[in-house]
Amino acid sequence: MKDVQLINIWFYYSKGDFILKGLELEVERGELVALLGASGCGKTTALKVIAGFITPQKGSVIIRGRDFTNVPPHKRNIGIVFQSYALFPHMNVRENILYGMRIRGVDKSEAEQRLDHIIEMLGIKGLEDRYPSQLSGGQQQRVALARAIAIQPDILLMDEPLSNVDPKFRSKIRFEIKKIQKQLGITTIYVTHDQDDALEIADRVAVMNNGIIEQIAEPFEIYERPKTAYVADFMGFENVFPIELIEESYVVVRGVKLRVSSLKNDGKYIAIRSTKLFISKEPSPNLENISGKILTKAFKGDRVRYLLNTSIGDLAVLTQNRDFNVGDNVYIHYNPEDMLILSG
Amino acid sequence: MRAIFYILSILCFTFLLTPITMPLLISFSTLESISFPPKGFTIKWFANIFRYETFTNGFIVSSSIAFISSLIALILSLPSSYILYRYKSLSIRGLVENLFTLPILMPEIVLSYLLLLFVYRALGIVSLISLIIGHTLVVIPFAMRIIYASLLNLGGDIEDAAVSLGRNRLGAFIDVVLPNIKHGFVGGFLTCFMVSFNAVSISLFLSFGEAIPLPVTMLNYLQIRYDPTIAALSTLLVAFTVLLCISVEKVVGLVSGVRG
Ligand SMILES: Nc1ncnc2c1ncn2[C@@H]1O[C@H](COP(=O)(O)OP(=O)(O)OP(=O)(O)O)[C@@H](O)[C@H]1O
Ligand SMILES: [Mg+2]
Repeated sequence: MKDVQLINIWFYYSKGDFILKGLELEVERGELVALLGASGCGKTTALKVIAGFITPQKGSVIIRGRDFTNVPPHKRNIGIVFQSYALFPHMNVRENILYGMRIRGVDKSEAEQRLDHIIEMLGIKGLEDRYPSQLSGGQQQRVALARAIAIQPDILLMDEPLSNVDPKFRSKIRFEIKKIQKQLGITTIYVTHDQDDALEIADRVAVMNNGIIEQIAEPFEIYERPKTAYVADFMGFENVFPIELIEESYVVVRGVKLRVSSLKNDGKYIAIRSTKLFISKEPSPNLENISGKILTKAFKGDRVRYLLNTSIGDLAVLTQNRDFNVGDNVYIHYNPEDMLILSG
Repeated sequence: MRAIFYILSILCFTFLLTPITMPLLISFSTLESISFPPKGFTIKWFANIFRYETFTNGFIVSSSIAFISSLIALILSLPSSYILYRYKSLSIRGLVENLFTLPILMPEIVLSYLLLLFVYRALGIVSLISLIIGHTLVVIPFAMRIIYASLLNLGGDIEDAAVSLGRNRLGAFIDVVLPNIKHGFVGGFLTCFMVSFNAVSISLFLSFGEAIPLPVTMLNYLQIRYDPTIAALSTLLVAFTVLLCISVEKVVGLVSGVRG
């Protein structure tokens, strides 16, 4: 069952300058989808459309099968964890968490019961009487989550919930959010611009670029098989080149023929990870070779990162082989299976 | 290093406080005219203040004008600063912002003259109302700035948070925005009150007939007599201002306050 359906959403703040350009998204019940994209690509705007703070000029927002496009935000049952947490400064933790239930007329004893349960679950016992300014970033984050789930929302939206948390604790909190999300079975959209964050927490990752979702897939799938140059770049493919021509088992890049294992006729780019390229002094007889010259050499712990000037452009290579030096003329080779063909 | 810092602080405070302590010293002097150093000790100048009804009336007029114009300024500032804070992409945003801060850029004397021409001569509006209009204009930029700043400081998410929890816009505003800008209100009111109380040229240009603000009565008095009564009155005004500040500090904790 689909809890959220965004159908062809178009939205602008100032006329003609579209932020969302036909956004499509479907989220299954109980699923956690990470919305991943660079700053300014429209992630927060997409959340605001779902929450109802802004109304798209075109398109529909369907929640649990019902059209919510024109329903005001306070009549939608959506919990939000804001990037700034947005706790009410004049209310203590207890009052913050109880606020939504009070507004919705939840029975007093029922509300108290839920409060206790949530406080227990999020490990914020003992903080009930504190004001937000007396809490650490991580604690505020939990209270914000507690307040959002206390209303038992149909959908939970989280906007970069970890950006104000100390990097040391991110992994731990990420895991806790995931645990609670699964425990409650709550459909969640989680916005982030951090690739690790998205891959670690999500059931599916949606990579957003320029107002649309370029690809949505399970973490492993999107990491291994990005479909577009943008997604590949986001997933850490350092070497992406436009294709000039496609022939039977070759693609041509800057006049150089490169062998690939599978061919798509609509291929626009090739991409290969820096870890999938090898360097040697002599050309390899079994693998595909590109000749080049080493421009820079940098140590990355147990590996070395070389940047090479080659006939197809600059190539990055990450390898354990430290034997080469700047200025060396070398050959780079690769397995044709590792050379990905991207369609956009 | 530390010593230099202390000396500088002391110098700075001396510089700031001397003009305030001068009337204090002179106001107890037995000399018949304002002169330094003071001699002897008397409280007759203080008694003198209350013998002149124009002073007590002036105080009431000034306070009333300050009170009313500050209130009007705050009431006008709230919706407009709210709009500026809520709708960041508003196209007339710059215009509204400038409109409200324009009076601060105009020399008070020019503003006073324009108001004299416009409010009094053209519209024929009589003294007290023209004074209130003038004072409101003078204090509005202060009210606007302070309320707008406290709204910006609060951030917009908190209202959205209340809305997402089920409250409608107006309710959210009342529940979570208003309580958190009350410091701004009190601070804004206080600032406006003092600015208005001290707006001498506006008062000078626009007061006719019965309703004469305190600064004008003080100037008038000085033109006739040059005794320390005005020094005594100044001392009282300083005390009044300090008291006002302290009470506000006590009520809302303008500076500290655990609740942020
Ligand atoms: N209230 C607004 N008025 C006008 N333009 C806005 C407004 N809010 C956002 N924008 C613009 O819309 C675009 C998308 O903004 P949005 O906040 O959705 O980005 P984002 O993907 O959430 O970025 P970030 O990762 O920085 O939070 C940006 O170019 C931004 O400048
Ligand atoms: Mg954002």
